[in-house]
Parts: sequence; C-alpha cells; structure tokens
Amino acid sequence: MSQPEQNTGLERLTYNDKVVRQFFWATVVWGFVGMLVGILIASELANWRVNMGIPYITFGRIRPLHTNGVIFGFACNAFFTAAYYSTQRLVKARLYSDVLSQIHFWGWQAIIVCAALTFPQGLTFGKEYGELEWPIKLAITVIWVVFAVNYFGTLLRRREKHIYVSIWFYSASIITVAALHIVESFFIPVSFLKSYSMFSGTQDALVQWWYGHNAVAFILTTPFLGMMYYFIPKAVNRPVYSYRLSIVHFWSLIFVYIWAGPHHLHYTALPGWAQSLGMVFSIMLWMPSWGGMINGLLTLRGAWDKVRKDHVLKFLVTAVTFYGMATFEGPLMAIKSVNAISHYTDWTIGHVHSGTLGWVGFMTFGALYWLAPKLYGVKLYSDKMATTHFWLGTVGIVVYIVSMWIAGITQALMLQAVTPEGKLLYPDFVQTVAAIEPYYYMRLFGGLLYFSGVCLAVVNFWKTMKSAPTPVDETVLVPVRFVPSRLTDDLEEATRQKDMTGVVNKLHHILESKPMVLTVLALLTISVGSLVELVPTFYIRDNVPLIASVKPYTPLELEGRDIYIREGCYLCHSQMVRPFKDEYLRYGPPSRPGESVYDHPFQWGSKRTGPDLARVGGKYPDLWHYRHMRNPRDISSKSIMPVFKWLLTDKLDTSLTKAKIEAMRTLGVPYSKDDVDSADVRRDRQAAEVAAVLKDQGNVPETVKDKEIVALIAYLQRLGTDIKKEAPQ
Amino acid sequence: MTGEATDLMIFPKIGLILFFGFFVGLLVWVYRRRGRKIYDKESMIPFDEAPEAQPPIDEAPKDEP
Repeated sequence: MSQPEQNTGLERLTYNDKVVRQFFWATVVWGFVGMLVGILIASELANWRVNMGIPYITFGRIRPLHTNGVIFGFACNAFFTAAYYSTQRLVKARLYSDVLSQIHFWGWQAIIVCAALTFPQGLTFGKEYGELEWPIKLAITVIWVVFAVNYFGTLLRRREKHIYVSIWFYSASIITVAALHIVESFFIPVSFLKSYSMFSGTQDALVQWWYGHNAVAFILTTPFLGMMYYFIPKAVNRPVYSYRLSIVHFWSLIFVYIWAGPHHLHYTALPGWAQSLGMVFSIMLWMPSWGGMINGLLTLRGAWDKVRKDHVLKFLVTAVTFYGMATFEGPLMAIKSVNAISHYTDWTIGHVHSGTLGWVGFMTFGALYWLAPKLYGVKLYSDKMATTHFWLGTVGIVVYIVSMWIAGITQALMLQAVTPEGKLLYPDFVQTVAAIEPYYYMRLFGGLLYFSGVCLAVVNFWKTMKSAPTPVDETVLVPVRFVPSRLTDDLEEATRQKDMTGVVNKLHHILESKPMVLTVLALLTISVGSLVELVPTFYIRDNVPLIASVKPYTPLELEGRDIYIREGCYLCHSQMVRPFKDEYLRYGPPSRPGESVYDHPFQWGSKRTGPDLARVGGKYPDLWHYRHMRNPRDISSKSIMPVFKWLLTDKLDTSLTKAKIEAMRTLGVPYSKDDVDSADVRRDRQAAEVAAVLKDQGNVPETVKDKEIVALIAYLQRLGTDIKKEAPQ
Repeated sequence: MTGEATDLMIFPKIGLILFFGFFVGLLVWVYRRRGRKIYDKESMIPFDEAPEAQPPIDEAPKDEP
C-alpha cells in the first residue's frame, strides 16, 4: 500500500483506517449493550422483581454478561481502535496484514456474541472475569495471537526508528494479557460446554486474583495509559510533560502491578506471606500510578483554558483525574485494616466503577470524540451533545460511587457491630441489606445518568457518520522504510562511548528502538512477581495443609455445586469466614485452606450481597432451602434474592455425572474407580433420601427427587459439615 | 524461631534493599543531566506522523524538571 515518490526519498502510504472504523463502532455498540445490561442488574439489585423469575435474565447469570461485555466488548475494542490508529501513525506503517486485521475484528466480535449467548444459559467457567467456557477461551487465545502477530508485524515494518511510549504500554498489555489468559484458563473439559478449573481452593483463588487484578492492570489500565500518552498530547497539541517520567512510569508500573493481586484475598485462607506481599506492593503502586497521572495532567500546563471549550479535553482530563482517584483508593483499600471493612461490600463496587466509568469510559469517549471527525473527514455532528454527555457522565459517576461508598461502609459497620454483652447488634444479615437498599436506587440513578450520556454519544457518532461522504483512508508521505540495526551492533556502538554516562545514555535508547526486545523484557518484568507468588503456593505443601475429615463431594453434591455455579450464586455469597469476631459469631470458626482443596473452581466469592455460606450445611432444614429457592420472601420478607423457582421444576441433567467424577479424579480429587462406576447409583440414592426428607418436612411430592433443587439442597447441606467432624485438637 | 527460619528472614531484607535501590537508581538515571534534551525528539513523535497535515505545535513552558 505504499508507492515511492520520485526523487524525494519519500513514499506515499495509506493507513488501514477501515479496521479502525470497524473497531470504533464495535466499541460504541458493545459499550451501549454492556452498560445497558449494567443498568438491568443494578435494577435487579434495587428491586428483586426486575428479575421477573426468568432464568436467562436473573442477576447471577447476567452479571458476567455485564462485566465481560464492558471489559472484552467495550474496553478491549477501545484498546484495539486506539492501538491500530495511533500505532500506524507513530511508526509510519500500514498495519501488517489486512487479512489478519479482519480476522481479528470479526473473530473478536464473534467471541463477544458467544458470551452473550452462553452466559444467560448459565454456561460459565465459574471464575470472575474469566467465566467464558473453554471453547470460547480457546477462541480468545487464537484471536489474541492474530492480534499480536498483526501488531508486532506492524512494528517490524515501521519507518520510525524510535518506539514511542504509547507503544510500550500497548506491547506490554498484549504480552501480559496472553500470559494471564493462558494460566487462568487451565481447564479440564467434561463436555463441549462444561469444564473444571485445574486449580482448586487456595491455589485457584490465588491464580484467579492474580488474573483478575492484572486484568484490571493490563486490560483496563496499561492500554489506556498508552492512549493517554497519545491522545492528550494530540488533543492539547503539545508534547507530553516529561518523557523521562514516562520511562519510570512504565517500568515501575508493570513491575509493581503484577504483585498486587493477593490484596483481594486479605484475611482469607490464603497464606499470610502472600497477603502481605499483595498489600505492600499495592501501597508501592501509589508511586507509579500517580507519576503517570501527574505526567498526563501536566501535559496541559499553560493550556488549561482549552479544557473549558474542548469536549475532547474535558473527557481526557477528567479520565486522568479519575485514574488518580481510583489509584489512590485502591492501595488504601489494600491496607488490611481498611480491607477488613471494605472487602465483600459495595465499597469495592464503587471503587471499581470510579476506575471503569471514570478512567476507562472517559478516556475511551475522549479518544472516540477525537477520532470520529478524523475517521470520517467531517466535523462532529454536535459539540453541544458531546458536552452534555460529559456532564451527564460526570454527575452519574459521582452519584454512583458516593452511593456505593455509603452502602459499603454502612453495611460493614452494621455487620461488625457487637453489643456490650458480646452479641451481634444486627444478627440477621438481611437487616443490613434493608438499610442500604435506598443506595441501590441511588446507584441505579447514577448509572442511568451515565448511560443517558452514552446514548447521546451513540446518536452523535451515528449522525457524524451519516453526514460524511464515503470515508477514505488517510494517505500520507512518509520516509522509505529503514532497515533496523542489529542489537549486537547497537550495543557495540554504545560501548564505544567515551564515558560510562554515554554508555548508559545509549542503553535505554537502544531498547526503545527494539520493540521485540522491549516486549520480552516487559514479559520478564511481570514474570518476577508472578512466579514469586504463584510457585510457592503450588510446591510448598505447608501452604495448604490437608484436613483428614474433609472429603470429596458425593455425585449429587457435585451436581448441586455445578448448579450453584451456573446460577452465579458465588457472585452474591462468599464461602470464606474471616477471622473476625462478628464473623465468628455469625458464621462460625474461620475458614482454613484445607477446607476447599476439592473445590474446582474455588467458591470463596468476592462480594456479600447475601450472607456467607461456608458453614450453612445443617443450619436449616431441607425444606427451608426448598422454600427459599421457590420464593426467598417466604423465609425472609426483606430479602432481595431473586426467585429460583425453575430449580423446583427443571429436571436434573444426569448425563455427565460420571464424566464429572472422572474429571475430578484426573485432577487429583481422591475418588476411586469404584466411585466413578457407582456415581449414578449413589446420586439417585441420595436424591431419593433428600426427596424423602422434603416429603417428611413439608409434604413435597416425591417427584422432586429428579429435580435440580434436590442436588442444590444436597450441596448446600454439605457446606462446612466436614470441618465439624474433625477430631478436637 | 528456629535457626533455619532466622536465616531465611534475611531474604526479605535483601529483596527490599534491591527493590529500593533499583527504583532510586532508575530515578537518578532517568533524571540525569542532559536527560531532557535526549528525549525531546522522542516526545515529538506523535506530531511528526504526517507533517503536511499538522498544525504548528504549541510552545509549552520549559518547566519540566
């Protein structure tokens, strides 16, 4: 796509803007859909009736649709849009391959469509932000490799020797997300749409939050920092405040970020050393994060007046401000004593949304408003609508996060309140839920404000596109392609410098002109923290001591556990009692690592919209659970839990029981061959026993024995019972 | 605390010193004399992508450390 101009040393190059426009619209569409689902689940939390008793839209099933929709649909497509647009211009080269670009685009959109089709059906891997089932995980791997080849291929064909800082962030994101996705996805398939995590319990929890936290880092942060370093200088028309600070920012951020994951597991059964590492590195993360924020904001030095008039700058500057706020709040919440209050509450939800709505959302919309006129060669349809979008969004975010702060802290303080006699002041969990319900409506209002701004953006972009003639890809004159020097030659030249300062001066410069070397070094940088935290948990037995009385689940319990995962129960209920007085009084003794060794995947949870279930087994009769699933209000009038009445009528799918036990056996769960062979018989026998108890307790028809509810009751009644059988120590 | 455990306790201290030293070293190196001049050209790359299409770059105050 490049033609030499005669005798000028330049050639004419046409950028591949078609794929940029495609990703632009994918960002807009999936942003709209993902946030619409967010509005729906916020409504469901505010009022349980919105679940409408329909399994496909019940909170537990579509919450992953919201998170995956906005992360993989909105944020990733924004990353691809920005990376493809800016990188072509920063390196003065057309994308490596038009075919790979199209495979990347259509492949990625197909993955998101698959997510939208599978989650409502309850097809889930059961690990937050990594819920997609194994065939879709494999597709992600393939498409990500296509993206990487296309991206790094473009860098290798560049005409600009030096690799600009945005590209470092993009490259580190590509390579790190690949590593995170591969490790998190280790699975053993049971059927075409069912698999189990290869890790269990404590190890699975650590891998999950290493992945989950670094998905925040390398999907929701570093790509957007790359965008910040490109779009803010372009929008304000002046270079970045300090290129040197960007070097410190890059290396220190990617090095420190990767260690911080265990702060999601404070006071859990994760070994204490891992929790301490997570906390210390989270606090250290303040420095690079704020260094980057300062670098972004000070790029506007002397030009702040432009923000008043320019809607693009309004979005970009506010995004960086929210980045600063979120990265101050994150380390604060990672301090164990603060985390004791914030964890499992809505404070975390508020924190996440200040980052996603404020930082990711506004950085994306700022970039899109900047790009739209350039991609279509016309003025934006309405500057006024864009400014209105900005104000609706800003007020919406503030309402959202303030409501969640209040809800989170209120609930935590109520749950921890103890009378002078040493009893719980609010013994019933639902008392705390009722107290924060108004804030769920307030959150919904904030979300609606933000979403109405998004609707304006959709109209604005659509009108802009319609007002444009057929878009033409940008053509520019660029220098002819240069031949990169060899690393060894560069190093040799560097060592010929007269003094040591000269040698050192050259070294990073060389690195900045070697994209592949830089990427490999980035991979090594993130590997340090990953290996130090993950390896000892797997290879030092003391970290997860076994408990003799803890046994594998029965076949029926295992089926019940899969229903628990399918319905997303883990999104509202934890199975992890922390070593606090109030939790001891409410739930029982603290959880230990050995209790969840057979949980593939782990079920510790991350949020308590309802109470912890680690010790719920035997606490209530079987009939209580039956009535609770049929209508939670029959048990607790203030409950906001959806009804799960289909569990009472849907037949339990027993076709995979044996295969599931066999898969667990392969993973090291101590089932014998006989356990596999007799799985069906034992499942049916236990189901008949549960059905008999239900009949005895509430005259429930015996036909219930082949229904899903029986399996779920068997599972729930098992939770926490093994540990009670342990011999006194 | 056993003798073996005491010996192991030296590693976090060494690690801390290494981390601290690494970051201080990085800062000193990045903010070395004449460092700003070295990176002036690189910071202008986004404005060099299509010279004929670019508006003139605003003059930024020279207050960067």
